[in-house]
Amino acid sequence: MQNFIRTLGVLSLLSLVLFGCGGGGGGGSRSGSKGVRVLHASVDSAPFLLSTSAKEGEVLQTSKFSFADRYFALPGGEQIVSASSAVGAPVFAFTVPEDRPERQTILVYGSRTKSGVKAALLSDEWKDVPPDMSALRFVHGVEGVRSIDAAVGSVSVGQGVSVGSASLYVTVPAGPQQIVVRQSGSSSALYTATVDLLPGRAYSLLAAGEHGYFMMVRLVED
Amino acid sequence: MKKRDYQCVFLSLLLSVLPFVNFAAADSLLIDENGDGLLFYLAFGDSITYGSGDGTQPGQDVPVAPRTDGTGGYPARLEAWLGIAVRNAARPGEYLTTSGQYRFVSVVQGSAADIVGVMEGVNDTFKRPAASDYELAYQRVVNVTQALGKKPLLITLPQPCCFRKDLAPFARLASGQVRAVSARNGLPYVDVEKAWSTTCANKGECELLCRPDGLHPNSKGYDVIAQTVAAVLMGIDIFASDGAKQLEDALGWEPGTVIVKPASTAG
Repeated sequence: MQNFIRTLGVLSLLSLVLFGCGGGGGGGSRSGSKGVRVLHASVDSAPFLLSTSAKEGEVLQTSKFSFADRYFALPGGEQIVSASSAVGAPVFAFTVPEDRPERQTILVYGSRTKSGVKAALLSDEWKDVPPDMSALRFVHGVEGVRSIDAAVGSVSVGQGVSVGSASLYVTVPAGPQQIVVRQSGSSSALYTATVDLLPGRAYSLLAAGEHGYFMMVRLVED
Repeated sequence: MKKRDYQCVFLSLLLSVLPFVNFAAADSLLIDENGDGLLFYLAFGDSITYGSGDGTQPGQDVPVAPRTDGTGGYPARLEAWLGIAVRNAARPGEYLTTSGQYRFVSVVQGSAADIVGVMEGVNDTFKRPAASDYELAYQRVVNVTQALGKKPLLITLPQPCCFRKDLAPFARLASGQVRAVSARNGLPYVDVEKAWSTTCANKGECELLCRPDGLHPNSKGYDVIAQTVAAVLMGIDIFASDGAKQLEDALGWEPGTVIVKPASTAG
């Protein structure tokens, strides 16, 4: 009887390990803090799939509108990185040389029904961040707004940032900060929100969507 | 056996069951996504979500479905059966591919909903839309919902008949895009079209619809829609051979209460 009980106990624990701990998954687990990622800002587009020439046919990340995965590490040497729509098209491919920035973002933006869906390869490089400060930049992916000004508290993060591009990183005090996003030349705010910035970290403020339909700004850690 | 042995048996059984409990919970969509302590389902749609035709019975002559007061339909049944908060945010006559997708943003943006069910597109069939029109609208709805931290749940459409038989191919087109967009985005969906095909006794002139109206469900049809939605929300495959029993057990219903038939009965 005791052997039976022990066996049952062992099997139960084994089943717990095998089944009970396997439910997570869903993407992002192989990503890291360096490499390449996709930021998806096109509100009428299906998810975009990240792949590289080093692992042909393998989807490294699935990027959904306005959400950010962490970076996926690339092997050494020149690579072709691609963001392809889950529908099959469009496919955006970029050649990244061996001597490349540590972190890069493929920004997918635009609209299928208006200006078309486009992509840009951004370099996500910032200098050392002082301990009580955060680094921040603005990434413009909003359809229908030619250029944007963004401010965090009293600090301007970007002036006249054109769609499909990003401002340079600026350092701002860490902690809760009010962000204000305006169409360049306009006094009325397109978007305001309060964000909490951790000291020593770098962030992108991703503006995504379509003016007149739905737009949002999401704080993404770089 | 000693007391310690009983404890070991109990622990062993508990550990054996835990993984399966975990699986069941993982399939359920009834999750308080925003952590406000309230499970809230927002029902977005047109007259079918509104509940037009509810209160009429199979066999009744209904040339035009009564509009009703918007307190019935599948949302009211979900609220009563599942004990969750449900808001009926339907607008009869609305087109998803035009004004509906814009109203959707304003409705969802200001809502504390955890789950947003979307069953709209049948009015668009009057305009003979292309599959890409539906695909675009459903993708937008999914993107906006997820960006706002809510779970989207797309719902396929009942098959029109009778006076509206000519709309059936376009309703099928919409339902096909519900499935495709859901799959692409890794989302579950509710297959009301399939429930129609498994459950209708008269496939050509389904008794779940007001007839000859041919577009709006009657009370029995709304039961079918609500049962199909409830099953998905609870992580139950209602089209499995024991799907009806699973739903009845989960809701504490008498055997035979669920009228949705399993896939094996589809003609």
